Amino acid sequence: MSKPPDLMQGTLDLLLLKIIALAPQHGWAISQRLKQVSDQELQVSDGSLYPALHKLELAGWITAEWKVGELGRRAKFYTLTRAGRRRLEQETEHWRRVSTAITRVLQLKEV
Amino acid sequence: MWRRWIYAVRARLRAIVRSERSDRELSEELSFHIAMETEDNVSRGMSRVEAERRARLDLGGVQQLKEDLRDQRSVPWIDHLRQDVRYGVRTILRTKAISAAVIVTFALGIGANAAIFSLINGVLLSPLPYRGSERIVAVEPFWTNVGRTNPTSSAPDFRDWRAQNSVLDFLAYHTGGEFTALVNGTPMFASIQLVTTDFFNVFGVLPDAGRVWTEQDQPALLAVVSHAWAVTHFGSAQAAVGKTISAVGRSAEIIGVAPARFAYPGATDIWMPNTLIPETPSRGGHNYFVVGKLKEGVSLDAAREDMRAIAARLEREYPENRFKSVAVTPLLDKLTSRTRTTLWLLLGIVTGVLFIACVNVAHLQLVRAAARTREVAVRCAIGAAPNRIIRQVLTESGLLGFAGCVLGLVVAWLTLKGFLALAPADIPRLDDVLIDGRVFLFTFAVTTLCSLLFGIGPAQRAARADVVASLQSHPGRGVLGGLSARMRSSVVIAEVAVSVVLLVAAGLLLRSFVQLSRVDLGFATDRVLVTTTAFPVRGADDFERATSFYRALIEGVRALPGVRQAAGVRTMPFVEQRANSGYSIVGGRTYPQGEAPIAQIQVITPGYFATVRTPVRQGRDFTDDDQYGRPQVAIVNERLVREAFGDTDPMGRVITTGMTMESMNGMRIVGVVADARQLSPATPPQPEIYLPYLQHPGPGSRLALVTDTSLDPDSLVASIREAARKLNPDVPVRFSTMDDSFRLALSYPRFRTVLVAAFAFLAVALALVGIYSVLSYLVAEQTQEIGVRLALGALRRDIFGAVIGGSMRLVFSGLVIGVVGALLAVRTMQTVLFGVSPRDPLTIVGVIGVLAVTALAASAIPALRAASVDPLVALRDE
Repeated sequence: MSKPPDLMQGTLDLLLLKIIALAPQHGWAISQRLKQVSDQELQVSDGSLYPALHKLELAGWITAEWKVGELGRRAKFYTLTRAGRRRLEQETEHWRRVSTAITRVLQLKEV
Repeated sequence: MWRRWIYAVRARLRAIVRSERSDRELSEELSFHIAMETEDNVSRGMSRVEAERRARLDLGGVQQLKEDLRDQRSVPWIDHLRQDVRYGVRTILRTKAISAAVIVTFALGIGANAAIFSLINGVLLSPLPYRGSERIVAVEPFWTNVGRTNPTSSAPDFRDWRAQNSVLDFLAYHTGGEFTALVNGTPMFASIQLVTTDFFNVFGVLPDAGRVWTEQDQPALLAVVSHAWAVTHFGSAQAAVGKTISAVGRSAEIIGVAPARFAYPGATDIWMPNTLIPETPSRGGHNYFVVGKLKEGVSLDAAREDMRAIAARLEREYPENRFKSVAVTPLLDKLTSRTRTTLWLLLGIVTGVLFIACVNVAHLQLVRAAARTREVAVRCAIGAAPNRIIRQVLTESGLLGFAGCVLGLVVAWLTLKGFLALAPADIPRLDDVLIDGRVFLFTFAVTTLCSLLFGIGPAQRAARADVVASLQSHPGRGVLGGLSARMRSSVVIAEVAVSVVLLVAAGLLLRSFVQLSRVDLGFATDRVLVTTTAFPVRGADDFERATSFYRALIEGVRALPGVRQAAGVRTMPFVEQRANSGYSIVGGRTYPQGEAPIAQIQVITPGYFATVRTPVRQGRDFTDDDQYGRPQVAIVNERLVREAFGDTDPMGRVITTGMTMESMNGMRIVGVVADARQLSPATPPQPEIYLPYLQHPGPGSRLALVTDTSLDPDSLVASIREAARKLNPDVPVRFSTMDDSFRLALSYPRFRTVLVAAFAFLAVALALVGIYSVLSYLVAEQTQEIGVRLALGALRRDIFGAVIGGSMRLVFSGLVIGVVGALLAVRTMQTVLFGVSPRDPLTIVGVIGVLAVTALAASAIPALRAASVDPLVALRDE
């Protein structure tokens, strides 16, 4: 199995914010969701998921809350903060501009 | 946006404050992940063991991840600080003796400073407790020919200033003193001020009860009383309002009670309208203290300019106003002018104390740092960065400094309590002295600064440590070659030099005080009882009743057993408000208006000089025949004779003053008496004119009775009180002794001297401890070397001599620098000295002697220790 391409710097943050924006959820669910939505195309190693989540939390984009999850155990659920939502909008906009630009470049015909 | 920061800061705070809980949550979060992943793997057909192994593997090592996450959350410098503090506390506790010495030394220095700063803060820096107090000013005449202000102004000048200025909201005057008051028929003394209507506006007084009077009220007989006085006599502020009292010989209704914080001037009991007593109409009669309130936004300079322009106009207009300008001074400065010098002097002294304390502490820290050279080297060798080591050492001195600061505040609190108990009543605003936020801030700032000062040296030394050399040398040598000779020398020299300056200051004050308490006053103070009375005077015929009352009282007292002599006097020596007036001699030199020499005026009854034992040099004392309707007579003192007559005979010449109508027509000089220090023990005798009471009953309600007795003065109190009561039960009497007045007059210099001396001795004690510790450490360091020299045949005497000699050379340098510094520094003390020159050789020689001897003693102990080194033991240690 070929290794999925490394995520671009900062892209992981955008993806995590987006997934959390859909619904507050815990770390494992986020990683599952990420694999599932991207058809296994985008894989984040579990080892880099948690540092990224914690970084977002420390930055104040998301906030965490302990709730009872599956298996009847306490799990840490992450929620988007209002600042996080604004951040997500900015990042999304930014991503669109960059990807459009890249696409345009890639569509150039060779002569 | 700010909400984001709240979340961010909260997450970090949680990591710091509740690091264990945050660790537990981390584990829980990760183990939940593993459990979910395991379940998921199992559902995909793996065995449970394999499923869990894979889950852990995917996370990439749980421990490692936890470390990473923890690092991510932590704030590095706080973690480092926590480490440093923990490590510092351990080090401090390991070397308990040195640490205790450091903390106590520093606490003494800091405590002294915090205490003195509290005084400065309370007395000089914090604003007066009145609304808009920074705009309240004292307005005084300023004599341009002599360059001095006069505390009191004339009424016409006051009226012109008030009418013509454009810079003041209010201008008011007050005048007064102690008068008789009758409350519920009981006579008593009360401090009464007659004030103009605007007086309360100047201070923005809102009465506690009732009201203050306004323009519409005049000229009704009204009174505002102080809160304390109302409570004492009526139980409460409310109860006092509406009551009638009798004061200054008139009945007045209390319409208001001033707030408890309002005390101006001094401890006034009753304020009454100035219209009660006719104003002195002349521009030469300076009887009124003028205070004003600047308009909002008007600068002091602008106010001065405006007022000076008015004064200049008045000067052109009225010949009496020649040389009279005007001074506008913030009231706070005015009130604290005398205390100011003393407080700054004290701050200078305690700064010296703190300096010596810091030098001692720095030395101890250097010793400690030297002892730790190896330990630091090891830390460097295993990778500690130099700035991390500097930070560690600084944290340690910061901890010591902080401990010293806390202890110092306790010292300050105790010192302050001592001060307030000791302080004479005439230091203004002592009620405002307390350890407040500003004092805390000051103490904390000074502590931080000092901690840096005594920490930075050792810290840099530690960071510069030569790792290889330190690690290679013999373990026992870790301390050897620790401190450079220069560092040691500068400790000793600096401490001795500063001690010299402080001791010279203290010595000069002590000598001044001794001179002052021994000064020849020109009158006796022992066994002289003073009876203060105030006969209530309403109309002109009351003067005669007063006169006969006093005559009868003096007769009665003279008849008491044990009384040698008794007489009356208008103003007691050392009482501030004394009358003075320009004078001239008929047929003598004439002076232009306003330039006549000034003489103090004293009104006495016959027998006064005999009672206080002031010698009559020429002529005679007054007699009962020197009374109203007989030729006007006067007695002058030698100072006036020297000034006005030179070598010619003053007897029978006629002297005039502008004091009263009677005295303006001239009085024949019938006697000359010796000079006396009437104003204060420190003020040289002034030209003085004595007038007989019977010719100048004047505002004659007040007369003090002085009684010379062969008994204990207190034993006469009861009989004199009874005699006065029998003559007139409405006259209040109060007793004191001349000795009391003298002691009171000396209380301020005594307070100042005791404080300065105490701090100077503290400084010297610290300096001696410093010298002792420098030498002790030096000797300890050189034990082996001394051992070798002894083994090679050196004499113990020579070893002893070498240590002492080395120390005394440094002490000598310190003494030289100190004396030069002292000669420069004490010039600022001129105004507080009495009878000694700031370069008083006796003081300087004495200080040098004391310091040389004590420094010798402090060096002798380590020197003896050096001389008694056992070469065998010393060498075996090698």
